[in-house]
Amino acid sequence: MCRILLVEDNEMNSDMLQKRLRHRGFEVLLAADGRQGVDMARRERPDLVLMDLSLPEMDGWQATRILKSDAATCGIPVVALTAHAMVGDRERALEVGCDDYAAKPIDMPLLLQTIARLVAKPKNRDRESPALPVDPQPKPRVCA
Amino acid sequence: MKGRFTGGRANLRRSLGLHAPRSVTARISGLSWTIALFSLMVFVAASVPEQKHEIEDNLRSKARGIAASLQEGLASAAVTEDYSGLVDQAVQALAGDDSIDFLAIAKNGGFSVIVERRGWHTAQLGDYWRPKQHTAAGGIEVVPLFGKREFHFATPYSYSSIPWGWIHVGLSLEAYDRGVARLYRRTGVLAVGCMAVSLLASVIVARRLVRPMLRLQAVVGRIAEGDLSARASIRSAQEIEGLAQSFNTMADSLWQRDEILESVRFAAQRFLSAAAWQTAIQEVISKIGSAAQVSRVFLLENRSGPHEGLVGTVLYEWLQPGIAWWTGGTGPAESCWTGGDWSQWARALGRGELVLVETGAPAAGTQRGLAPAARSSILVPIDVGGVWFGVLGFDDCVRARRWSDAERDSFRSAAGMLGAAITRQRAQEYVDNILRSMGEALLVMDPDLRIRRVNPSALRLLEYTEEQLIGQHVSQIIEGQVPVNSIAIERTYRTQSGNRIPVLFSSAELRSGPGSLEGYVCLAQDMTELKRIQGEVVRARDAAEEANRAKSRFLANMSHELRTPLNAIIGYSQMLQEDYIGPHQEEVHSDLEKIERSGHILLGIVNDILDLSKIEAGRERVELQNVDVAALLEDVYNAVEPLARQQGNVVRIDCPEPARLAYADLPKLRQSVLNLVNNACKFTENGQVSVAVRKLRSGSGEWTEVSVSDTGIGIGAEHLGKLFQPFSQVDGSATRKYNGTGLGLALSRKFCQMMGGDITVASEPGQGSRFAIRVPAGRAAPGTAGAGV
Repeated sequence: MCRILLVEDNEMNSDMLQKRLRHRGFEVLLAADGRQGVDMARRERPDLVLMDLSLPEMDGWQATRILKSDAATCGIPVVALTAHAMVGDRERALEVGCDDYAAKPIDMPLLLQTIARLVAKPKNRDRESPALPVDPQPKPRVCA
Repeated sequence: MKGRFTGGRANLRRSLGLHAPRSVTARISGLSWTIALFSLMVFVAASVPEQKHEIEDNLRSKARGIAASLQEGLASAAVTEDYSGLVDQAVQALAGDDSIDFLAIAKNGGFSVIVERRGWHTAQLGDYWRPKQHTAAGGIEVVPLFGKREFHFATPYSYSSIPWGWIHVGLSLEAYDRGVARLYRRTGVLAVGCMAVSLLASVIVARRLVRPMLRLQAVVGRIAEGDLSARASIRSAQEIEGLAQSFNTMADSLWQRDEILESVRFAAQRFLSAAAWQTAIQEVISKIGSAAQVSRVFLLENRSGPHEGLVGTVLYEWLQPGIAWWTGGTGPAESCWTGGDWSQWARALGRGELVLVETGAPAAGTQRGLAPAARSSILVPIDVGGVWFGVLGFDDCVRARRWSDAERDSFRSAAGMLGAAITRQRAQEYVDNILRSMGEALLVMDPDLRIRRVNPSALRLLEYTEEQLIGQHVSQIIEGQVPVNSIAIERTYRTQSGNRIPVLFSSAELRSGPGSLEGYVCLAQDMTELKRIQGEVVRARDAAEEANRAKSRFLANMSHELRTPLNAIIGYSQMLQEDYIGPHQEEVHSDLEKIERSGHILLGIVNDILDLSKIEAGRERVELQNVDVAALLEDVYNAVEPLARQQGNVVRIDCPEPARLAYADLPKLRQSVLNLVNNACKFTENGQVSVAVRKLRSGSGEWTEVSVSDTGIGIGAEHLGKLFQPFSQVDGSATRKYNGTGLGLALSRKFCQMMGGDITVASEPGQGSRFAIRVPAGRAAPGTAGAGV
């Protein structure tokens, strides 16, 4: 069974996302802040981390950086969850070591695709791998 | 010492007549004396030998007489061969006359009787006593037998026409020598006397001849030394007197020329030293007028038209006593000379040429004014900075005169200097006016940073008088270092009352040539008011920025706070749609979908607000790269397709191959195009929405234009202008009917402008609308992306 660590401080979002993931057969671990997320990742060694970026205690950027600089955890794919598709956030996320990112509100089919792709890869893949073949842009919004 | 020595030597030389050129006196006296001496010598040379000859002749005739007296006795002796009587006769003759030294009778055969003072004897004498020439002859010679100088006379004696022998008479030369000596003595005394007299006479004559020349020479010497008033008064030979008169005439003209030159020099000096030429001009023209001995000098300021004549104002005038005023002596007077020669003269003056009137007749033409007619005039144009300012005129009302070159040149010089003075003064006034009218405070300093010049603004600013400031060190008024060659830096001036004034300060070195630093010029602008306004502006700006930051913060926070629960709303409704199985399943699903769609709309609004606020805060950036417009349009089509279908619209996309590349920020371009197409679909029912891409070339380069045309409700002209302003949907009812906040177009336009392009619109109500996005066309070499804005 695929184990996903969801690091998210907002209770409602966390609850909603874990339910949706569980319904699709994932085992979901929960952490409420960055520090807790790092600890749990080290302890539990999940198959993937969904990392909210604005977190109390330690933000998602730093938590990711720590995970990726630790030989024990650097192989775990990290998908950043951002509140809004800000230009630069994607680059920043990839820069600190995130393997991909997903904008909120979560486009569930896209997220599932991303998870499937990252988890299917061998664990000790090269960090300097080329850009992802699939456009990770969120679905364009319709403006009023 | 040295000078005196050499002088002494020179005098010595002159007196000796060596080397130094001889004086005329010496030459004349020497010449006449030499002539006298020569005459005397000729006379002596002619008379002395003659007198000597005469004395000799006396001796010869005496000897001849003695010889003749002996002939009687000799006749008998020749017959008898008895010489005793002859000897007696001879002895007696000797005794009776001391001057007879000897008598000798020489027979042709050689036998001779010789009687002398010691006695008589016979002897056989040689050929000397029997000359070949058979004539009587006598002369002074040394006689061999006696070995002394004698007057020796020999006469042949013939008996009965047969040459028998010779009678020799020897006379002593004592008396002869005495006579000759006397002759020499007398002649010598006479010669010396004559020489003395002639020398005296020649010297006197020479002196008399040379004296007037010497006097003339003395006068010349005085003139040469600069005393031009010296004149020669000589009553002498006609030639010398003529020379003296010519000389006096020459000295007169020299004196006048010197006076004129002096007056011109005076003019130069006065014009240079006077602060204003007006203060010097009267003095100058009176000086020149008296020097040139003219009747009138005037300065006329020209106001002539090109063909009128000489018209203007006589500003200044100087007159010889007895000549009437033009100006009346009270001030400037209008003058007007027209017609006749005047037009021609005025043109010549305008060209910068002198006008000379030497005819002696008054000038033809009309003359208005008080002036008596001038008989000769010279009009000199005055040039001031290339413009004909006026005329410096010189009139002689008394006599016709020819103007000498010296006068012309001098008058021209004077006019030139006046022109230069006026030019300089005008330039000075020009600069002064500029300095006076400047609002900035100007300081001119010498190289030691002492103030040399200030303008009124500086005095006002610094609260000093000019006298207080001139000569002061600049540190008295400027705080801190005085930078040279600075432009618009901030400094602080200190006024007399101690106020500190912020100024915008510039300074520059003042150089008259390479390497010669004359000082510094400083310009300062009072910034007190500017500072105050600047302070207000800064405060206002800070406040505005703070307000804007607060707004941005508020918007960011608000959108975050709004989005978090929205995410939950959307997420839970999605989750329930995925998971709910139960009663009224269809209806529940439909309601959940409505909740989710409303959540998305609200989220879109929140995101738009956030985007706009980020752009306004300057935090939004674009990432430019080559974008495949065709692929982008496909995404757009997929996104609007449900809405288009719902509205009954047909969406047509036309993207030709050559136009498919744009150089843009992909997400922003996509969002902008999507917004336009979405709007088109929204405001059109059962119509057509056309998306066309084309390549344009205009002005600065190539563009990719994506136009979105619809057959919808259109927009009135009065609304087109506000279309791109935030929250400006055409009317309030539209918001309710068509959804949306009116942020989309404002955001799209901002995005396009950030990408270097723009959005334009053309529309008429009821006729549909055509929106066009224009962004730079794609670049030939891909990969040059990444430029931020």
